[in-house]
Order: sequence, then structure tokens, then C-alpha cells
Amino acid sequence: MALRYFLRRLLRMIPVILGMTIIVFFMIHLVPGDPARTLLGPRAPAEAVEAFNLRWGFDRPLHEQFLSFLGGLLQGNLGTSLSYNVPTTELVAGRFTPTLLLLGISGMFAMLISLPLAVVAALREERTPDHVVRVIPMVGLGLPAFWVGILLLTFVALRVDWLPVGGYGATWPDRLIAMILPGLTVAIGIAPFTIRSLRSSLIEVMEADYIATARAKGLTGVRVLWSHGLRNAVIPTVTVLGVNLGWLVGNTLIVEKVFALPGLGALMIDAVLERDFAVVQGLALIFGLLVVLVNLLADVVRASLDPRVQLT
Amino acid sequence: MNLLKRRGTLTLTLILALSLIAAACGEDAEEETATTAAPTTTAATPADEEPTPDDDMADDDTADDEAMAEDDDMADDEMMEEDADGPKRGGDLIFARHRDNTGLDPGEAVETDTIYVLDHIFETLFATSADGASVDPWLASDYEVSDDGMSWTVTLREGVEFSNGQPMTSADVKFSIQRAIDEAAFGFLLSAIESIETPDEQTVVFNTSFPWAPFLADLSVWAAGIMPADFAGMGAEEFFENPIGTGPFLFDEWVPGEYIRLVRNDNYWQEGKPYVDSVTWTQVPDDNTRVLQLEGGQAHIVQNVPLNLLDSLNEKEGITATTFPATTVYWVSFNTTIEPFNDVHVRRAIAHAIDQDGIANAALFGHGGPACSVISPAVPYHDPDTPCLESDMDAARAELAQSSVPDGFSAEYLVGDQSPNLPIVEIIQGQLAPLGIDISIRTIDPGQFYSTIFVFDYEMAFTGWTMDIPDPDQKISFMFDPELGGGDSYSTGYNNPEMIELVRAGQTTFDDAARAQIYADIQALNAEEVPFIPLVVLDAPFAWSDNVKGLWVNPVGKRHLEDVWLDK
Repeated sequence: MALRYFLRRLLRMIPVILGMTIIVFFMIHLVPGDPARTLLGPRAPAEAVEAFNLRWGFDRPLHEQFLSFLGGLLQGNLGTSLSYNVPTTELVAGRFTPTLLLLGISGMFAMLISLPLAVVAALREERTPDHVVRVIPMVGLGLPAFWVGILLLTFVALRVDWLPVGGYGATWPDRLIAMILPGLTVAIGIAPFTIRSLRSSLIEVMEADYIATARAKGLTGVRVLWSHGLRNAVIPTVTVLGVNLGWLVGNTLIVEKVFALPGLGALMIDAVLERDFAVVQGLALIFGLLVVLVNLLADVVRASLDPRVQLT
Repeated sequence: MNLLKRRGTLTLTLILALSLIAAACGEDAEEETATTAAPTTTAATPADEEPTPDDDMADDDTADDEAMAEDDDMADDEMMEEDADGPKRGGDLIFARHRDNTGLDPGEAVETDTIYVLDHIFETLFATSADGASVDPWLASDYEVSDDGMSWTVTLREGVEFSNGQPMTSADVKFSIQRAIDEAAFGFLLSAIESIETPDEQTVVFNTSFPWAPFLADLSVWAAGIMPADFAGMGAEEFFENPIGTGPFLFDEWVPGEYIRLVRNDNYWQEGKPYVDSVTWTQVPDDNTRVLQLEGGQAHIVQNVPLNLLDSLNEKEGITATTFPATTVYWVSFNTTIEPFNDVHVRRAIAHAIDQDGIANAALFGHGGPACSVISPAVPYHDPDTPCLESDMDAARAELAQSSVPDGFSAEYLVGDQSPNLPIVEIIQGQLAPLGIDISIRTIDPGQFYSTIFVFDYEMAFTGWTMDIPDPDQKISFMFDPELGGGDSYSTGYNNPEMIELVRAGQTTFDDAARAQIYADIQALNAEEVPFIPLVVLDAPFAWSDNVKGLWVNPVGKRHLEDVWLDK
């Protein structure tokens, strides 16, 4: 049952991905800007520009370029980067880990921040702690990530010896440490959503009959909260986190730049500026897949948390 | 479920759109594509010395060059004397910059930050001096030019070895220069060369198809870096995975997006150098983060420091933050093929209305300065006495009264959206308003700027130039010679036979005083007809920690990191 559901979801991803491929391809090609001029500079002679366009096939009609891009895609070939002159897949493979690590750690931090705050707010509903919890994190929503990042670098990284001022690190322990501040930056941006969602579902859940039953059984407050309250309240929050992942990925573009992380986002920014078509297309596709897959994952997690959700 | 999915797809489309926009707005878009036009980091002279932009510069004969080379050595030595013990060996120098290398082949390299790394692997026969005033023998030791100016005999330096221990010979030079002419993106700089002869192992003769005064400067371009003949028996692809040159450092490791590291070349021909064991260039795209890394001791040297941070950073203990003179000049350019900009009175009125001092103070925070000539003071043949049109509103009104549009007009001003362009253009917008000239600003993604002006899809534009070589011809011919310069006079359409004659005379005149006079005339003619109104000269901002010694950057941006040492 679950397997069939899974396969069906995967199949349904195909038109989404295809549509996205088309949009991305035409978006980057229709935005004015000439990769030959961008890369070769204004002083490059006309012959050099022509040779460049011939070499990369930019002299051909757009639909032909699209078909050859699609053809390559079916063979797992994302084209060759204009500025680095290496296959896009190779370029992207090296940049995958930092981004995944950042996403994972941000999600973890978001939950770590949200859980205690939401619990406090829900248990003190409509009293001061609740108001504080509902208002303060909203500030995080209004703060641009690059600014939060710079603040954390200035006031934390510069003063704490074991935290690097940006950069990635050569060993795994170093890399995990390097992810602390960027992860926090992303988490501060997403926490307002998760806190609100967790708080309101917690309030709803705590009024449910089964909570009253659990209390009547004589279970301690903590037990009730933990195994009956949170377990149920967290389900919609997982969905919220999943749905917001797209936004989260967008945020990593900026955060990777500020913290000098060699991830996909940093690569994307360079590629767009240099009109490195193959890399932009490849990355957009990967980001798209990532979002679709994580949404699927969120549904699966939800199902495993909530026996009432049937994966059909 | 359905709702969720739809939202997922929507968000997805949004991020894609946002990422495009965010990237386009990134102020770090910066320059750096193609050293030529990009406003780049470029600067001069040993750290502590004030640049002296003298005008009677540039090399004309060998004796002078030798003297110059010695002067430079002395400058270096003096600097070292600050520390009684002399330079210390060892250490890993970390150099943080905003972008990554794009490759390891000097033939393909067009982007300054890539070039500045490759400079340490491959060296050229001639190199720009520390003050940017001359081109000195580097891998060459001497040269002679024939009386007709069409044959250059270059003697190679004795005892130069490639990093694999193989000695450098004339065959390697011939191979390298020929490859640059045939394949390099900047090979056009060497196109005057007709044939290369190698009478013996230490001598190379270059025959040019016409007398070519900027020849030595052209040989100093990175694309003419010397590599072993036939790639030391490898294929080009294999060779550039682990390139072999005569430079002070060897390629070690490159992690794209993160860092590129070079290590000491023990075979280096300059005895005792380099001092540091290795140099690592890290990519730190964000301006503020780079500065914070310096403060936190994670980087030794950072470049492209935001000008507004420079002074406060310099006051911090243990940090020096300053600018090196560079060759970058920004100007207003006009599409002179359309009305009203084909009218010299309109251009002159605008030139009179613009106050360069105000722009320099407001937009450059006191670093860099007002420009009067199209040639920066750090470049040979700059004429400090160029008769520029003064900032004078009455004169501006008088000029406009004589023009075809005495009551003013409205125009669109095209500007690439990157620092520090926009504030400058906004100031000009305000300065022109009293004349009845109503400027609307059209910002554009830097990636599409040049392709837009190249098809003349503009009225006024914000452009500039940074030099690759210490000779004005490269840019002057591009700016004023619509045919041979190959760019419709930098896309202005300006076509003045008198100017074209001067440009071509500059290329074929070998006498230094005569050449200086020609370039003075060119600068004066531009000041009179103003197809380009020079605005500001930009210096290259750097910051480094005090344990870094011996850093210098010359006006064309070369950093000789073999001279740098770390004091722990």
C-alpha cells in the first residue's frame, strides 16, 4: 500500500519537473545578457565571441538548444559549465554536501528552538509568556538573513575562539562546528512559522478528550504533555516545515554567501551572474527535486507519526 | 493534500524567481569579468610608499630598464629593513577574495582573480614595475630593438628552471608565445608579431609586421606566460591539471568554491624566495565576512574591502587597511550617434555641470579621487595638465544655449547595478537637473551591461576601464579608434579623424618624449570634445594583518607574493 503510494507520488513528480525544466530554461535564456560578452569581456574581438557561441551552440535557435538540453538530461548529462569548463554534474556533486548539511542542521535547530517556546506559550495561553513567544520570533521573520548572519559573525564568532568566522573546514568535526552559526541563521528565519504552528496545534490537542482521559488516568503533567500532547501536536508542524522547505532553500543562497560556504546556493549566484546557463539549469532542477522530495518525505514522516493518515 | 502540493510547487517557482533576482541584485556582482573593462582591484608600490605618478616615465632603452629593475629591488630591500632580522621563512599565507578561480590555463583566463593566481605559476618575459611606470625584464635579461622598430631581440635570463627542473630555453618561449597568439583569449594583444626565431638557446627574435611601440608591455600580459615547449610532453588537458611554470609557487590543490592552494617552488630562480611555504586563496563572497575573517585571524590579506569600512578597519589594532593606486577610471560615455549627444555643446555643457570632487567625496569615501584625464595617474603618459572643463554652472548654461537643445532635454542613463556605480549616477542626476536636463536612471544587471551598450541600446552610460598592461594604447585605441580598436570607440560611435591619427601615431612612435606628447594631445582632445567625461579614479582597497610583511600591489594589480613573509 505504502509502496504503491510512494511510486505514484514519484510518477506525479515527472510533470512537475518537466514543467520546471521548461520554465527555468526559457527564463535564463530570455533574460537579456550574453554569456560570451560576460565571460570574454568587452575588448574581446568579434571573432572570439562568434567562436565562443559556435562552441557552446548559442548560435542555434532556442528550441533546438532546449531539445539538446533535454536530450542530455535524459542521459543524466546536465551540460558543461561555461566558466569552469567542467561537466555540471561534477561541479554540483562537490557542492552538495555543505547545502544538505546546512538544511539538516537548520531544520534541527528550528525544532530545538520551537519545541520549548511553543510548549511554554501553549501552557500559558493568553498570558504574558504566550504573548512574548508569539511576538518576539516574528521579529526574526522580518530580519534579513544576511544581516542576522553578519550579526552572529560579529558578536559571536569573533568572540568565541572555537567558532570559525565563516568558511567550511577540512574535517568533519570542523564542518559540523562551521555549520552552527549558519544553521542558527536559517533557523531564526523559519522558527516563527514552526513556533506558531506548534503552539496552536498544542493548544488544540491539549483540549482534546484523550488528554482529559490521560489526566484522569493519573499520568503526570510531563508525561501527558510529552507522549500525548506533543506527539500529536508535532504532526502539522512537520508539514509546515516541509512546505516551507522551498523558502528555506532560498534562504540558504544568502546564508551560504555570508558564511562563505561552498554550497549549491553560492554556486547558483555565481552562475546566474555569469550567465552560466548549464549550471543554472542544472541547479534549478536539483533544487526543484529537493523540494519535491522533501515534501514527499514530510508526508511519509507525517504518516508514520499519525496512524490516522493513510498513505493511499 | 492537494492544497499542500500546490503550495509546494508555487513556493518552488517563487524560489527560482527569487534566486534569480537575489543574484542579480547581489552587490558583489562586481566587475571582475574580463580584466579590461571591469573596475578591478589594481594598485601599486610597496605598501608604505606614496605613489609618485610621474609623467616622464616608461621605458625606452635597455640601460634605463636595468636601472629601473635595480630601483625596484632597492625598494623591496628598504621595506624589509623594517625588521632587523630580515624576512622569515615559512607559514601558510591565507588570502581571502570574493571569487574563485575559473581555471588554470592562462590562455583561457579572462578574469582578474584567476589571473592573479596564475601569475604565481607562470611568469612573463617582461613585467610591470612596482610603481607601474615601466615594463622591466623579468624572465628576459636584456633586449634590443632594430632601427626600423620591427625586430626585437630578447636575451633570456640565465639559470631559470621550470618547477620540474627543466631549464627554460628559447624553444619554450617560442612555443608559449605562439600558443598565446593562436589560442589565447587575449592573444590579440600579440597580433603584431609576425614570426618568432630562436637563433640560440638563450635568444629569441620577434619580428613584427609593423613598428609597434607597446610591444614590451604587450609581452607582459599574462596570456604570454612561459610554459615548457609541447607542454613537457603532455597533452594540454593533462598539463593544465597540474601545470608547470617558472613561477615562485607550484599548483597544489583546488577545491572549487572553497580555495586554491599553491606551494613553494624550490627551483625558483630568485634566490631565497618565496618566503612562505604556501599561499591559499579562499573564496569568501561577502564583503563583510571577508573583513571579519581578517579581524578574527582567519585570513591574512583581504581584497575588495568596502570603501566605507576602510578607515575604521585601519584603526583596529593589528590591521592595516589602505588602498593601492590603480588604473581604474570611470566616466560618462555618450551614444554620439543620436541626438542630442552628437552635439559637442551638449556634451560640454554636461561636463561643465558635473562636479568630480563632490562625487569622489560622497561615493568613494575619500579613497580614490576626481578624474580629469581618461588615463589614470598610475598609468604611463598620464598628463596632469590635461585642460579639463571646470565645474561651472554658468559655463554649462552658456554651452547649452549654443546647442540644439537650449532649454534642456530628458535622457536615459544606463548603469550596471553594482557598487559604487549607482550613487555616482544619482549624484550626476542631481547635478544636471538645474540645466533642465532630466535624467532617468536605467539600472541593468551587470551581466547584460556590455551586450546592451555594444548594440547602442543606450543614450548615456556609466563605463570605465582597468588596464591589463602598463601602456595606454590598449584602452586608448579601443576608446578612440572605431575601426582598428574594434569596438566602435567603446560603443560611443565617436569618430574623429584627428583623434584616430593620434592613436595610430602613438602605436608606432618609439621616442618617449614624442609619445608622451601624442598621449597628452589625445587627453586634451578628449577634454575638449568629451565623448567620455572622466569622473573618478578608483584605488584598490586591501587590508592585511600586521604580521604580513612585504606586500605590494602595482597599478595593474600584480601581487608578487614571493616577496611576502609572515612574522609570527
